[in-house]
Amino acid sequence: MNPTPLSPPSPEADLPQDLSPRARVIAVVVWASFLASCAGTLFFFAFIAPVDLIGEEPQSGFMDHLSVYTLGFIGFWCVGALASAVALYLVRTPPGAPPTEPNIG
Amino acid sequence: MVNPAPIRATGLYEAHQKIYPRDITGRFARLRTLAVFALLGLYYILPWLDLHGRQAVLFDLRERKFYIFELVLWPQDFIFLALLLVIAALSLFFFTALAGRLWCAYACPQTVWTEVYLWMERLTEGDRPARMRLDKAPWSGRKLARKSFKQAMWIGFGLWTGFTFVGFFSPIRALWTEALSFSMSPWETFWCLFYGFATYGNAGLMREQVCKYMCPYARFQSAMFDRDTLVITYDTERGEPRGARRREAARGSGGLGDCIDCTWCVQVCPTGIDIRKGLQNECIACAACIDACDTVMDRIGYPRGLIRYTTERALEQKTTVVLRPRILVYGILLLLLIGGFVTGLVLRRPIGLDVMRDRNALYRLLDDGRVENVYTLKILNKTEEGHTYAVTVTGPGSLSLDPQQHYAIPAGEVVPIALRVRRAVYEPRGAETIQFRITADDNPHLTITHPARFLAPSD
Repeated sequence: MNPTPLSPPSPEADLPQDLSPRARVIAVVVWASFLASCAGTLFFFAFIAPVDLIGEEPQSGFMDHLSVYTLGFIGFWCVGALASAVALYLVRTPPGAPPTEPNIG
Repeated sequence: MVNPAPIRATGLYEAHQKIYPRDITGRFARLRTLAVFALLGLYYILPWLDLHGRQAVLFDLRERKFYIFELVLWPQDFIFLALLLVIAALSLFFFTALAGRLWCAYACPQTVWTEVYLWMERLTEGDRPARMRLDKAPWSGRKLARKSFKQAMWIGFGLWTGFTFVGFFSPIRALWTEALSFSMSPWETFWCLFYGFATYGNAGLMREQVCKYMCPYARFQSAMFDRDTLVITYDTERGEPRGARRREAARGSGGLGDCIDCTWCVQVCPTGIDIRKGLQNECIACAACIDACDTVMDRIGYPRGLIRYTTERALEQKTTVVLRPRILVYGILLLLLIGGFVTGLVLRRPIGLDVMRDRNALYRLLDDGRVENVYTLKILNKTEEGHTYAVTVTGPGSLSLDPQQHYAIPAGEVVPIALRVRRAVYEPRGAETIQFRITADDNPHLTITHPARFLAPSD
């Protein structure tokens, strides 16, 4: 008599890889700075209006008030990503490690 | 001489193997499906609802006003937004301490959208074994068709999600018209694509890796756990030693525990862990393993609950303490904050007043023996109807206003007005605090005061 008719364990060792460790590190940096940027944008623009930064909204052109919010968000994100990346680099690189081996992955 | 080994830092993450969660039905799967419909229903339907001739929920960035049904929040109401965020964070702590990772299992956008993306994957590529076979198989017309169909569904759903996201910030009906004629503004297009891509990437491609490697909450949630927190646990006492057995074998025969080692609990796990190894950081408490194990127990006629929601204390045959200091502190703080938030909203004045002194001159002495200060008053009408307001000023001495008139402020507008306040120079001497008051002509309860300094020579 067979054991219970349920699926046996499936070996998955030879299945394709998803994200590489390097991609995961990038994802962590991007995600942490994204969350920080959300909070930063919310607080900054609660007190500073686009009109305070670029004056009255132009009737046409690229730089309207909505673009100020977007650029502000992207700016916060870039600064946050830089800070995250530097912090991660310092944590992951032991003192005395050859500078040519940042070991991102 | 032997050279020292070069210093090499090691990677923090192991290589990832793709996870193919098996489909499962059961009590908790139904609960998760319900949560998916409720939360995504809210997300996709809310921006299409109208109220008073406007979008019911709209975070209007251009006008700097947040419409949430009857409530209209201004930048001046930032305290409410901040309070709301604190309440949300504290609720997360409270429910985590009480019942573990409820948020992760049922309400986190990552979980909810991943459920939908997995459903689309099942629809196009089949169940777990079929998906595994398809991935292993060489490229063929059938594989290309199935993969392409899945990608098309994923991308389409991501774009619709991105469009809806932008629709919370820009009136969605106008946005839809613009989208149909490919005339959305560059930034609206950017955010539509950005959010769509983020949804596709997080829910379609990265899935459990977001929880395992990117989510900060997943890392610190264990700090809120104690021995009385509800967690999903495998009953080792009952299940071990595990092993396969004949179907007709009596329960407990051969010295075996109740676990038949079918590994269904592992196969259904979206993060690919084995709950039988104990509580793990990667577990998002989705309870899929409970449903899987209950199904198997039902099939072989064993009692359910080999994997179940329980507490560490209950597993030790002790009584779980629900009302413990941690819960009480979180609960009381939460109640206080919610009380403060609601009270603040109820007492919130639908009118705002800001007073700024003219910075160019401290004061001006007039020929008629009086002293004059100049102010700019910013009157904010937060109501959804226009009102006409009267301005008065009170303080030491006989103060007079110039001009003396009523000001019509349209609904939801801020209007700056310049005013001069005059009084006799030495009546009294020196600077004093005065009070500006504005009152709606048609509603005396619609009134607000604001202090200001009136400067005058002291000798």
